[in-house]
Order: sequence, then C-alpha cells, then structure tokens
Amino acid sequence: MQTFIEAVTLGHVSEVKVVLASALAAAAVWQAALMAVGWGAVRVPFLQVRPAAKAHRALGDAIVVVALVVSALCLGYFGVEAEESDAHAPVALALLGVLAVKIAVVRGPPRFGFLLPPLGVAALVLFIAAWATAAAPYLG
Amino acid sequence: MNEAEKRQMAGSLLAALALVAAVVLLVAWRIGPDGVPSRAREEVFEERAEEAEDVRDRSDRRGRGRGRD
Repeated sequence: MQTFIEAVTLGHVSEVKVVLASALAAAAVWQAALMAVGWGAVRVPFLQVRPAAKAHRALGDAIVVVALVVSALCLGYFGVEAEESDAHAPVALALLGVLAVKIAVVRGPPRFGFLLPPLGVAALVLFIAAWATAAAPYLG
Repeated sequence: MNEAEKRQMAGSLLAALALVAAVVLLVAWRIGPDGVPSRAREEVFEERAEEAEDVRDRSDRRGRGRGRD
C-alpha cells in the first residue's frame, strides 16, 4: 500500500496531502458561506436560496470524495499509530464520522433535517482542525 | 430551476473552484518548486527532534551543574 501511494504521489505523500487538505479547508469555508445563504441567514443580491443550496450539495459531494482520498493517503501511508501522539488522528476520525452522519441525514427522512446545521458547523470546525493539526505545522 | 438560478449556481461553483485553485497555488508556492520527498522530510523532522533533545540535555546538565554550586 505504501509503495502504491508513493508511486501515485511521486514520492511526495506529505506534500500532496497538505495541498489537498488545504483545498478541503478552503472549500469547507465556502460551503459554510453557501449554506448561510441557503438557509436564509445571509442575503446577497447575486445568489438566491435555492441555487445556493444546490451548489452546496454539489460541492459537498466533491468534498467528500477528496476527503476520502486524503484519508486513504493518511491511513494507508502514515497509519493511525504514527499520529497517536497528536490530535490529528482523533480529529480526522471525528470528521469522517460527522460526514457519514451528515450524509445519512441528508439522504434519510426529512424529519431529521434539524440536525443538518449543527452537523455542518461541526464538519467545518473539524475540517479546519484537521488542517491545523497536520498541514499548518508542515507549512510552518 | 430557471436560467437565472442555473447561472447563479454555476457562478457559485466556479467561485469555489477559483478559491480552491488559489489555495492550491499558494500552498504549492509555500512548499516550493522542488518539493521535498516525504522520506527526506521525515528525516529532517527526526534531525530537528534530535537537535532539540540535545539542546534540552545540555540545558539540563547546566541546570544540574548550577545546583551543585
């Protein structure tokens, strides 16, 4: 697995992970902004509620795919044990859990829709925390 | 969705793409044009950790020395 990941990233596993994690954190902030418009909490003249919500959903699908790729890189190459000493592993695992619950709520019965705003905020906080505990120290 | 809403959705997704591209360029610039192979980077981290440990050991020894005085 490690050999495969090194081959795919041309030997720059950490660098690829840092770039992808940074892109994910930026996209997560944009997601929160889109949903603030989508929920009607923020009103802007150039974006209405429905297109904001649809764009949030489309971007969210892409974010989940990239997050799974980063997780695979992380677990497959570095493993969980290597990062036991810091907060990154628990934060990243919590993020995957929150994303799984959020997807289940989005695709489940509408009566659980009230859970989406807190789950979205939790996902945003965990995306930033995951970036801050791995990519930020790397970038110095 | 009508045409205006479709345009708004496409615009917000393009803006997201532009933001992500800007962040990728910024981080890539920060990492540097040559990049550093992961293994080499880990070795650098290990060296730094060993240096920090040496500095700690030296200051511990100095502290103990002063304690005897």
